[in-house]
Amino acid sequence: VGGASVDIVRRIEEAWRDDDLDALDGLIAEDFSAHTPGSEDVPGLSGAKMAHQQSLQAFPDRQNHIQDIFGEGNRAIARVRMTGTNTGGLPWFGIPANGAKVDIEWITEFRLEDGKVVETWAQMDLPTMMQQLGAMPGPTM
Amino acid sequence: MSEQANKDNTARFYEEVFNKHSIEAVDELIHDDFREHVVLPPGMSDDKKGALTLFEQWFAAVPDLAATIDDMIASGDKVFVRSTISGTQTGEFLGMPPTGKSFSIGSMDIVRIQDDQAIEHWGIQDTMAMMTQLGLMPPPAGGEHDH
Repeated sequence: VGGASVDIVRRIEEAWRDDDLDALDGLIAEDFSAHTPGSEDVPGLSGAKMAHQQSLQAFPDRQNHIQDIFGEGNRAIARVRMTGTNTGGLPWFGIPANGAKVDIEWITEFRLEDGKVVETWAQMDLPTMMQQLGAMPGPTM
Repeated sequence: MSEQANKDNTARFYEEVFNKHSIEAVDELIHDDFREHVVLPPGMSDDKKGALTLFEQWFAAVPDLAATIDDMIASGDKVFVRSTISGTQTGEFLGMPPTGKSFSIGSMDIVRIQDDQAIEHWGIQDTMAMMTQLGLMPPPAGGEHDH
Protein backbone atom coordinates (compact mmCIF):
# COMPACT_ATOMS: atom_id res chain seq x y z
CA VAL A 1 0.00 0.00 0.00
CA GLY A 2 2.62 2.51 -1.05
CA GLY A 3 4.93 1.61 1.83
CA ALA A 4 8.16 1.86 -0.18
CA SER A 5 7.08 5.14 -1.79
CA VAL A 6 6.11 6.55 1.59
CA ASP A 7 9.49 5.61 3.08
CA ILE A 8 11.39 7.34 0.27
CA VAL A 9 9.23 10.47 0.43
CA ARG A 10 9.72 10.60 4.21
CA ARG A 11 13.52 10.46 3.72
CA ILE A 12 13.24 13.23 1.10
CA GLU A 13 11.17 15.52 3.33
CA GLU A 14 13.51 14.86 6.26
CA ALA A 15 16.48 15.76 4.05
CA TRP A 16 14.86 19.08 3.01
CA ARG A 17 13.92 19.74 6.65
CA ASP A 18 17.45 19.04 7.91
CA ASP A 19 19.15 20.85 4.98
CA ASP A 20 20.91 17.58 4.14
CA LEU A 21 20.80 18.22 0.40
CA ASP A 22 23.39 15.55 -0.51
CA ALA A 23 20.98 12.90 0.80
CA LEU A 24 18.58 13.83 -1.99
CA ASP A 25 20.87 12.63 -4.79
CA GLY A 26 19.95 8.97 -4.41
CA LEU A 27 16.27 9.67 -3.88
CA ILE A 28 15.32 12.13 -6.64
CA ALA A 29 16.26 11.77 -10.31
CA GLU A 30 18.42 14.72 -11.42
CA ASP A 31 16.11 15.38 -14.39
CA PHE A 32 12.86 14.89 -12.47
CA SER A 33 9.90 16.79 -13.79
CA ALA A 34 8.45 19.35 -11.33
CA HIS A 35 4.99 20.73 -11.91
CA THR A 36 5.32 23.55 -9.43
CA PRO A 37 4.15 27.05 -10.31
CA GLY A 38 7.36 29.05 -10.81
CA SER A 39 9.74 26.11 -11.21
CA GLU A 40 9.99 26.28 -15.01
CA ASP A 41 13.03 28.58 -14.86
CA VAL A 42 15.09 26.33 -12.59
CA PRO A 43 14.39 22.72 -13.57
CA GLY A 44 15.68 19.49 -12.11
CA LEU A 45 17.09 18.56 -8.75
CA SER A 46 19.77 21.26 -8.97
CA GLY A 47 17.02 23.82 -9.54
CA ALA A 48 15.07 22.56 -6.54
CA LYS A 49 18.20 22.75 -4.39
CA MET A 50 18.80 26.31 -5.58
CA ALA A 51 15.24 27.28 -4.63
CA HIS A 52 15.79 25.71 -1.22
CA GLN A 53 18.96 27.78 -0.71
CA GLN A 54 17.10 30.95 -1.76
CA SER A 55 14.41 30.17 0.78
CA LEU A 56 17.06 29.62 3.47
CA GLN A 57 18.60 33.01 2.66
CA ALA A 58 15.20 34.66 3.06
CA PHE A 59 14.30 32.73 6.22
CA PRO A 60 17.56 31.67 7.95
CA ASP A 61 15.59 30.39 10.97
CA ARG A 62 13.29 28.40 8.72
CA GLN A 63 11.83 25.20 10.14
CA ASN A 64 9.92 22.56 8.20
CA HIS A 65 7.35 20.45 9.99
CA ILE A 66 6.20 17.29 8.22
CA GLN A 67 2.48 17.25 8.94
CA ASP A 68 1.27 14.27 6.91
CA ILE A 69 2.68 11.64 4.54
CA PHE A 70 0.82 8.81 2.86
CA GLY A 71 0.86 6.94 -0.43
CA GLU A 72 -0.52 4.29 -2.72
CA GLY A 73 1.47 2.25 -5.21
CA ASN A 74 4.16 4.37 -6.90
CA ARG A 75 2.79 7.70 -5.63
CA ALA A 76 2.91 9.44 -2.27
CA ILE A 77 2.06 12.87 -0.91
CA ALA A 78 3.47 15.09 1.81
CA ARG A 79 1.91 18.07 3.56
CA VAL A 80 4.59 20.29 5.05
CA ARG A 81 4.33 23.38 7.24
CA MET A 82 7.09 25.99 7.15
CA THR A 83 7.70 28.62 9.79
CA GLY A 84 10.35 31.31 9.58
CA THR A 85 11.27 34.97 9.84
CA ASN A 86 12.09 37.14 6.83
CA THR A 87 15.47 38.46 7.92
CA GLY A 88 17.11 37.91 4.53
CA GLY A 89 14.61 39.35 2.05
CA LEU A 90 12.99 37.91 -1.07
CA PRO A 91 14.47 40.08 -3.84
CA TRP A 92 12.85 37.92 -6.56
CA PHE A 93 9.48 39.10 -5.18
CA GLY A 94 10.73 42.65 -4.52
CA ILE A 95 10.36 42.12 -0.77
CA PRO A 96 13.12 43.45 1.51
CA ALA A 97 14.08 41.86 4.84
CA ASN A 98 11.40 43.05 7.27
CA GLY A 99 11.32 40.63 10.22
CA ALA A 100 7.88 39.35 9.20
CA LYS A 101 7.00 35.88 10.41
CA VAL A 102 5.58 33.36 7.98
CA ASP A 103 3.67 30.20 8.79
CA ILE A 104 2.40 28.40 5.71
CA GLU A 105 1.82 24.96 4.25
CA TRP A 106 2.35 23.22 0.95
CA ILE A 107 1.34 19.86 -0.47
CA THR A 108 3.55 17.85 -2.85
CA GLU A 109 2.68 14.71 -4.79
CA PHE A 110 5.59 12.46 -5.81
CA ARG A 111 5.67 9.79 -8.52
CA LEU A 112 8.42 7.19 -8.24
CA GLU A 113 10.11 4.85 -10.67
CA ASP A 114 12.69 2.25 -9.57
CA GLY A 115 12.91 3.72 -6.09
CA LYS A 116 13.49 7.31 -7.21
CA VAL A 117 11.22 10.31 -7.59
CA VAL A 118 10.80 11.17 -11.27
CA GLU A 119 7.86 13.59 -11.16
CA THR A 120 6.30 15.97 -8.63
CA TRP A 121 3.29 18.27 -8.41
CA ALA A 122 3.10 20.92 -5.71
CA GLN A 123 0.94 23.76 -4.49
CA MET A 124 2.11 26.25 -1.91
CA ASP A 125 -0.04 28.71 0.01
CA LEU A 126 1.63 31.73 -1.59
CA PRO A 127 -1.23 34.22 -0.97
CA THR A 128 -0.98 33.61 2.79
CA MET A 129 2.81 33.97 2.64
CA MET A 130 2.58 37.24 0.69
CA GLN A 131 0.07 38.59 3.21
CA GLN A 132 2.27 37.57 6.14
CA LEU A 133 5.20 39.27 4.41
CA GLY A 134 3.14 42.43 4.06
CA ALA A 135 3.40 42.27 0.27
CA MET A 136 -0.30 41.74 -0.45
CA PRO A 137 -3.37 43.37 1.05
CA GLY A 138 -5.67 41.46 3.46
CA PRO A 139 -7.16 38.04 2.79
CA THR A 140 -8.99 37.84 -0.50
CA MET A 141 -9.42 34.09 -0.83
CA MET B 1 -14.54 1.90 5.31
CA SER B 2 -12.32 0.64 2.57
CA GLU B 3 -9.93 2.86 0.70
CA GLN B 4 -11.86 2.21 -2.51
CA ALA B 5 -15.12 3.28 -0.86
CA ASN B 6 -13.42 6.46 0.33
CA LYS B 7 -12.20 7.15 -3.21
CA ASP B 8 -15.68 6.51 -4.62
CA ASN B 9 -17.23 8.92 -2.12
CA THR B 10 -14.65 11.56 -2.92
CA ALA B 11 -15.15 11.15 -6.68
CA ARG B 12 -18.88 11.51 -6.11
CA PHE B 13 -18.29 14.77 -4.24
CA TYR B 14 -16.40 16.19 -7.25
CA GLU B 15 -19.11 15.07 -9.69
CA GLU B 16 -22.14 16.13 -7.65
CA VAL B 17 -20.74 19.29 -6.09
CA PHE B 18 -18.14 20.77 -8.46
CA ASN B 19 -19.76 19.63 -11.69
CA LYS B 20 -23.49 19.46 -10.89
CA HIS B 21 -23.50 22.22 -8.25
CA SER B 22 -25.68 20.24 -5.86
CA ILE B 23 -25.76 21.94 -2.46
CA GLU B 24 -27.73 18.90 -1.23
CA ALA B 25 -24.67 16.76 -2.05
CA VAL B 26 -22.48 19.08 0.06
CA ASP B 27 -24.90 18.53 2.92
CA GLU B 28 -24.96 14.77 2.37
CA LEU B 29 -21.23 14.17 1.84
CA ILE B 30 -19.84 16.45 4.55
CA HIS B 31 -19.91 15.26 8.15
CA ASP B 32 -21.75 17.30 10.81
CA ASP B 33 -18.46 17.52 12.75
CA PHE B 34 -16.54 18.71 9.66
CA ARG B 35 -13.39 20.78 10.28
CA GLU B 36 -11.85 22.99 7.56
CA HIS B 37 -8.09 23.54 7.83
CA VAL B 38 -7.77 25.87 4.84
CA VAL B 39 -7.02 29.46 5.88
CA LEU B 40 -10.39 31.16 5.37
CA PRO B 41 -11.30 34.78 4.75
CA PRO B 42 -12.57 36.72 7.78
CA GLY B 43 -16.18 35.92 8.62
CA MET B 44 -16.08 32.39 7.16
CA SER B 45 -16.57 29.60 9.69
CA ASP B 46 -14.40 26.48 9.53
CA ASP B 47 -17.31 24.07 9.99
CA LYS B 48 -19.97 22.43 7.82
CA LYS B 49 -22.05 25.62 7.77
CA GLY B 50 -19.07 27.50 6.39
CA ALA B 51 -18.53 24.85 3.70
CA LEU B 52 -22.17 25.13 2.60
CA THR B 53 -21.87 28.92 2.43
CA LEU B 54 -18.61 28.75 0.48
CA PHE B 55 -20.04 26.40 -2.18
CA GLU B 56 -23.21 28.52 -2.49
CA GLN B 57 -20.97 31.51 -3.19
CA TRP B 58 -18.87 29.52 -5.70
CA PHE B 59 -21.99 28.37 -7.61
CA ALA B 60 -23.40 31.93 -7.71
CA ALA B 61 -20.14 33.59 -8.78
CA VAL B 62 -18.96 30.90 -11.24
CA PRO B 63 -22.06 29.41 -12.93
CA ASP B 64 -19.97 27.10 -15.14
CA LEU B 65 -17.71 25.90 -12.32
CA ALA B 66 -16.23 22.47 -13.12
CA ALA B 67 -13.49 20.20 -11.80
CA THR B 68 -11.50 17.35 -13.31
CA ILE B 69 -9.80 14.80 -11.07
CA ASP B 70 -6.23 14.33 -12.32
CA ASP B 71 -5.13 11.83 -9.67
CA MET B 72 -6.29 10.25 -6.42
CA ILE B 73 -4.37 8.49 -3.65
CA ALA B 74 -6.12 6.72 -0.79
CA SER B 75 -4.52 5.42 2.39
CA GLY B 76 -6.30 4.54 5.61
CA ASP B 77 -9.06 7.08 6.18
CA LYS B 78 -7.49 9.75 3.95
CA VAL B 79 -7.87 10.57 0.28
CA PHE B 80 -5.65 12.93 -1.70
CA VAL B 81 -6.99 14.54 -4.87
CA ARG B 82 -5.08 16.49 -7.50
CA SER B 83 -7.58 18.33 -9.66
CA THR B 84 -8.05 21.10 -12.19
CA ILE B 85 -10.78 23.61 -11.35
CA SER B 86 -12.12 25.90 -14.07
CA GLY B 87 -14.92 28.32 -14.76
CA THR B 88 -15.94 31.86 -15.61
CA GLN B 89 -16.27 34.35 -12.79
CA THR B 90 -19.42 36.35 -13.59
CA GLY B 91 -20.32 37.30 -10.02
CA GLU B 92 -18.58 38.86 -7.03
CA PHE B 93 -16.58 36.25 -5.12
CA LEU B 94 -14.90 36.73 -1.75
CA GLY B 95 -14.54 40.43 -2.34
CA MET B 96 -13.30 40.05 -5.93
CA PRO B 97 -15.42 42.08 -8.37
CA PRO B 98 -17.09 40.23 -11.26
CA THR B 99 -14.56 39.99 -14.09
CA GLY B 100 -16.37 37.90 -16.73
CA LYS B 101 -13.04 36.14 -17.26
CA SER B 102 -12.26 32.44 -17.20
CA PHE B 103 -9.74 30.55 -15.11
CA SER B 104 -8.27 27.06 -14.99
CA ILE B 105 -6.08 26.25 -12.00
CA GLY B 106 -4.55 23.34 -10.14
CA SER B 107 -5.76 22.23 -6.74
CA MET B 108 -4.38 19.74 -4.23
CA ASP B 109 -6.68 18.53 -1.50
CA ILE B 110 -6.65 16.01 1.34
CA VAL B 111 -9.83 14.81 3.02
CA ARG B 112 -10.26 12.53 5.98
CA ILE B 113 -13.34 10.35 5.67
CA GLN B 114 -15.51 9.07 8.48
CA ASP B 115 -18.89 7.34 8.05
CA ASP B 116 -18.67 7.87 4.26
CA GLN B 117 -18.45 11.63 4.80
CA ALA B 118 -15.64 14.19 4.73
CA ILE B 119 -14.80 15.13 8.31
CA GLU B 120 -11.56 17.09 7.75
CA HIS B 121 -10.13 18.98 4.77
CA TRP B 122 -6.75 20.45 3.93
CA GLY B 123 -6.14 22.01 0.55
CA ILE B 124 -4.16 24.48 -1.52
CA GLN B 125 -5.24 26.02 -4.81
CA ASP B 126 -3.12 27.97 -7.26
CA THR B 127 -4.83 31.20 -6.19
CA MET B 128 -2.07 33.35 -7.67
CA ALA B 129 -2.74 31.85 -11.12
CA MET B 130 -6.46 32.43 -10.64
CA MET B 131 -5.98 36.10 -9.74
CA THR B 132 -3.62 36.53 -12.71
CA GLN B 133 -6.02 34.83 -15.15
CA LEU B 134 -8.91 36.97 -13.85
CA GLY B 135 -6.78 40.06 -14.43
CA LEU B 136 -6.82 40.99 -10.74
CA MET B 137 -3.05 40.70 -10.36
CA PRO B 138 -0.10 41.24 -12.68
CA PRO B 139 1.71 38.07 -13.84
CA PRO B 140 4.40 37.01 -11.37
CA ALA B 141 7.97 37.99 -12.11
CA GLY B 142 8.91 34.37 -11.37
CA GLY B 143 11.31 33.05 -8.81
CA GLU B 144 10.62 31.53 -5.45
CA HIS B 145 9.16 28.11 -5.17
CA ASP B 146 9.94 25.06 -3.18
CA HIS B 147 10.86 21.66 -4.53
